[in-house]
Amino acid sequence: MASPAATRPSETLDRILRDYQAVAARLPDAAVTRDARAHAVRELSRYGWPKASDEQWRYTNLRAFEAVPAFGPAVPVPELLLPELAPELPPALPGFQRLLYVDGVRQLGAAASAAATATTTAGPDWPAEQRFGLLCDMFASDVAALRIRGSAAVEVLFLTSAAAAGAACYPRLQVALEPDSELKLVERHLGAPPAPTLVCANIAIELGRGARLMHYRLQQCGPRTAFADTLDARLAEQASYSVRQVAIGAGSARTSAQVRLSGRGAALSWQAIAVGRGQQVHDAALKVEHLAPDTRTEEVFRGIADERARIAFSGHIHIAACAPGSDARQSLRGLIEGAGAEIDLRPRLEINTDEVKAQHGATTGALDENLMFYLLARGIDRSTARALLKWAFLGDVLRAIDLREVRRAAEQGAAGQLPDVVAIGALT
Amino acid sequence: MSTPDIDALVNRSYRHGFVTDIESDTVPPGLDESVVRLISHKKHEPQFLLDWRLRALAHWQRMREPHWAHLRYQPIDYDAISYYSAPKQNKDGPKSLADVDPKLLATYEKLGVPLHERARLAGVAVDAVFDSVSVATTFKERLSAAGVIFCPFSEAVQKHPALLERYLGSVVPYTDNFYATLNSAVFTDGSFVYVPPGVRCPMELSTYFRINAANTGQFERTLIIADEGAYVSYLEGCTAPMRDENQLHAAVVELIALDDAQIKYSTVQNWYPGDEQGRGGIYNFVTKRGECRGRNARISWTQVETGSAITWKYPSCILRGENSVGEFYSVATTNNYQQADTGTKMIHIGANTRSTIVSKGISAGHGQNAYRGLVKILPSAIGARNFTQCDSLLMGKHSGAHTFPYIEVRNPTATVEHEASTSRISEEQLFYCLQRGIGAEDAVNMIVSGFCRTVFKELPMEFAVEAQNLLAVSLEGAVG
Amino acid sequence: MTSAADPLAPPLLDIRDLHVKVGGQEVLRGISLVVRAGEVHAIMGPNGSGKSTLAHVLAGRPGYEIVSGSASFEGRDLFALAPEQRARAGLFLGFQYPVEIPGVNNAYLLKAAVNAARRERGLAELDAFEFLSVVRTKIRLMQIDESFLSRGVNEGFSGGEKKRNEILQLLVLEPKLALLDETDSGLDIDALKLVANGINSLRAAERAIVLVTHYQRMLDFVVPDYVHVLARGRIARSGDRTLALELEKRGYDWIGEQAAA
Repeated sequence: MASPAATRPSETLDRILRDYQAVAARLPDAAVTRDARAHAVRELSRYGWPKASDEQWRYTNLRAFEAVPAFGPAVPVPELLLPELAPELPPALPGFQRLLYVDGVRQLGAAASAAATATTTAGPDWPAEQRFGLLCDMFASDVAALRIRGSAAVEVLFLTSAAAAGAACYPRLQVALEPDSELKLVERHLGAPPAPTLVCANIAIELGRGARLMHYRLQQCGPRTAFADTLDARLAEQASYSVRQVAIGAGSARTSAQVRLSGRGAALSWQAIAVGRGQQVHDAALKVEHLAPDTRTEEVFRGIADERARIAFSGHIHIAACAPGSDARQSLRGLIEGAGAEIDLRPRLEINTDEVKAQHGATTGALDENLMFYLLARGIDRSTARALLKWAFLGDVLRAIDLREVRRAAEQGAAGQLPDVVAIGALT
Repeated sequence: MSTPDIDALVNRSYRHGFVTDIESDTVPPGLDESVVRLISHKKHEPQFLLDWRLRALAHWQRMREPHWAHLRYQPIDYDAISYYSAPKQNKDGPKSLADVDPKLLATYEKLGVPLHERARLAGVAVDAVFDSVSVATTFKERLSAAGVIFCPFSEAVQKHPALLERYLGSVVPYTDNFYATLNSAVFTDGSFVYVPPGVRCPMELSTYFRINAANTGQFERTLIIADEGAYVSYLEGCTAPMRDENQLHAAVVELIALDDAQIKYSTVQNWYPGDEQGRGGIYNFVTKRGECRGRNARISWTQVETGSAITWKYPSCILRGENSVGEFYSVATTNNYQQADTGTKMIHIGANTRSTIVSKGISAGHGQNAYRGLVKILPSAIGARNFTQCDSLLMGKHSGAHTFPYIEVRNPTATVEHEASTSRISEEQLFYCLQRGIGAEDAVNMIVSGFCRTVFKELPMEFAVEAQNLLAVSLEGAVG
Repeated sequence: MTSAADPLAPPLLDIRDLHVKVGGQEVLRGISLVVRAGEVHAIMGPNGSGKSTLAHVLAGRPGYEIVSGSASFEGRDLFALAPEQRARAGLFLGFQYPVEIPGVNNAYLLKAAVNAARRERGLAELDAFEFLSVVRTKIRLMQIDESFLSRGVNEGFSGGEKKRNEILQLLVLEPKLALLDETDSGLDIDALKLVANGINSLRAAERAIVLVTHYQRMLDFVVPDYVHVLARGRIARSGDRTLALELEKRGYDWIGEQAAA
């Protein structure tokens, strides 16, 4: 990461607004309407740039985002260069349609999707803790908009090319599932630009009555990326939303997610892993609103902080008075491995009616000594035992990834983050 | 299903609601430098204390009231508060209980404060604070034989200025927070305890606080120091008369435990919570913090919070000494429109420091109960351990329970565990009890006291009984 | 004595006047015990007598303070070795409460353990096929379903399954000395027979077995050469199998009185 400029929050905001003025004229209406962009500018000016003293931002490495050289979107990569990018792309997922976005812009050379029809919609009204979403509303040049009727499987790859180094990319994904439809969605963020680069993604999801979305999210950006993803999901009656999120890349990352369970019986399963080493900072904040009766949340987080990394997860579950019969479970666990590492967990429940089931557990610590002894007593050496146990620690979530290829990719990514984990194939 | 109309079941009026008619020596409302100088002058304070108060005032005037607590309340008009009031009395003050204003003694009788008889029998020394000035202290001799200093704060200012200058503000600096800073500027009295090295304080020390004069803020200051190897158990209990206007209470309690010392601080807080519509009631914004400054030191906070319209308090421990231990046991109930935002901070600095947090929140009616806690393990805290258990019991559709824990760990050898659960008293459970011939109130009491058992067992015996009763009273009419 | 061991052979395990503290409390108060290859010993005693402590100290579990005394394994100072080195040298501890390690499968653990021991002995590591053929026969012996290999270590196992898994590991690792800590506890009679069969299949002239147990019923199936009774951190009595039978009739109080006397 470049040495962070010691800028005041207001200076960063000024820079953003200046950069916006410079590019506003060439930003396409098709991605975000002019009105919506103007609205985002007003909102961001009203909120201001976040400060570390703000409750919702205290664990984010804001300086990494402040140190981004330019907020304007990168100049799109010419189609001719695409073949050069091919080696950077993961193998195709069987049965999935692939959409490829390079530096935030759709590559038509990739297979066209029947399921995908572009629509232009404004982003949701982002609350202050999701204000990074406003940046994407302001600057996005394109959008991946999926409207699904029936059943589909789509892989969306967001690749940051070397050409984007020193600038910013604004991936944008909008997904709407019609009632009783079903989608398997893989969302991957890749690419390692050689200079500080901002990747700031917005994801908006709407699930109709009885719709089911399996959303696999892999963030594997390079170390010089400051990565932000802002997600808004709304669930109608009986809709079900499963998220499997693996955050292993980027120098600094911030996830700001909000899920609204608006219809009776809507259900969320959010299972996430973050693995950090070096000086990485991963901060994720998930807010779940139970707004209807009999809604359910299952939240699992496993974070490993190695070396000097900082991993933070804030899970906020709010059960409104109008949501009796809600059931919410949170299980947050952090494993702190490095002497300079830090784990910050914020399990948070706000309950406004009595007919609910809600519980959370949060633990942070080193590897379990009993498990360690068991392995040593079987003659396994210390570093292998450590690796095994770290692996086991992530196991809950990794095993919940039911797509083999995605799981393999997640495992390989996680293994690359764990200094003493080798020979993953034999483990799984 | 036929369930009892439980709203009708109780709603007994506040038992301790009456006003004692005593003339007060009260300064006009409002706060500026002259008020601070007046307070300091009336108390014949040394220069260092006046300077400290003035620095606090200057700082406070630049501060803004916090708004982050999970609370809603009418803004407090700090210019409408009178910052000093003392009951009129003989110039030299009461020499013994016989010299104390009989009306005051009668007040304590009504409150059931066992000043005269039961105090002696129970072996409790009572330093009773009436409004802001201490009027009676007992058991001085037995304590002084042991070398224990237990006196009103204002007396300590005169007799033990060196101890004060050394320790006052060393745990809660005057810059700490809005309410603590205000307290530092205008506190009028409170309690001071010093237990010398190796001494086990021969009795439970107890102070009954009471808010009396209308529109008078209470700014108690308590400072407890347990020197090396010392032990002290301190009890604080509160009741308040019925009032229409909300009253501010912003106390500061500082605890200091040196090597191998132990301080146990127990509170039963039963101030006037406001009526069924949420009118009246005490605003209770208290700063309580202890520091385990020495090795193997131990500080335990136990609290039972049933009163006040609004409670905002986080008794905390700074675990600096190696192997030191911090504990926090809390029961907080909110009924009607009461709001409580309470919890603790455990700051682990020393190696092998341990902390335990057990928080039980009970919300009934429109009551809102929030637990806010911070467990922070600094890089120096090798082998630190924390266990937190945070349970909520909900009674009623409009009740609220909120937990806001922060867990920040910066040492790889530390272990922190946090568990939270939510349960409720259901109509089915109540019906089951009724069907077995157990009354609704008894059933609720049964369930609630089971829920709170782990905290009650931390209280000194005489307090545990009182706490249990208070809980029953505060939850009357809660089920429905 | 029915021992198959050569009384003149150097001891496999030699414990001398061992004193051990746990949390400041002296739990072992002078244990001396010699175990030779080919022997089966049973260590019995009431709860809290120090049986499990002895097994764990020998295996190198952290948290115990060795106050004085020594223990050698084939002439090497046991306490100078890390737990994994002891295991590779051929000392196996069967756990009373085997831990669950979700996410690490049984096959992986077994293979890693086998190959760690083989490396130690200068043998080539087993490849996946060789390993599987070894494990398959043992799995059948313990009547364990093969699907179990791909499950997490002890994950979701019943108490009996966990114990069978311990014996499976024992069979696959073929240690020189097996310390089995309350392996019989919580087993029904069928499972007990199965476990005993497994243990008996391992009895050999070059191997010793130490059974730590509260009840003598295990000893009906795995007949020991020697029985030692622990009371208050000391060996109060040693004898042969008949001592175990006597204990069953008279209970431990009888020994306790003798030890106190």
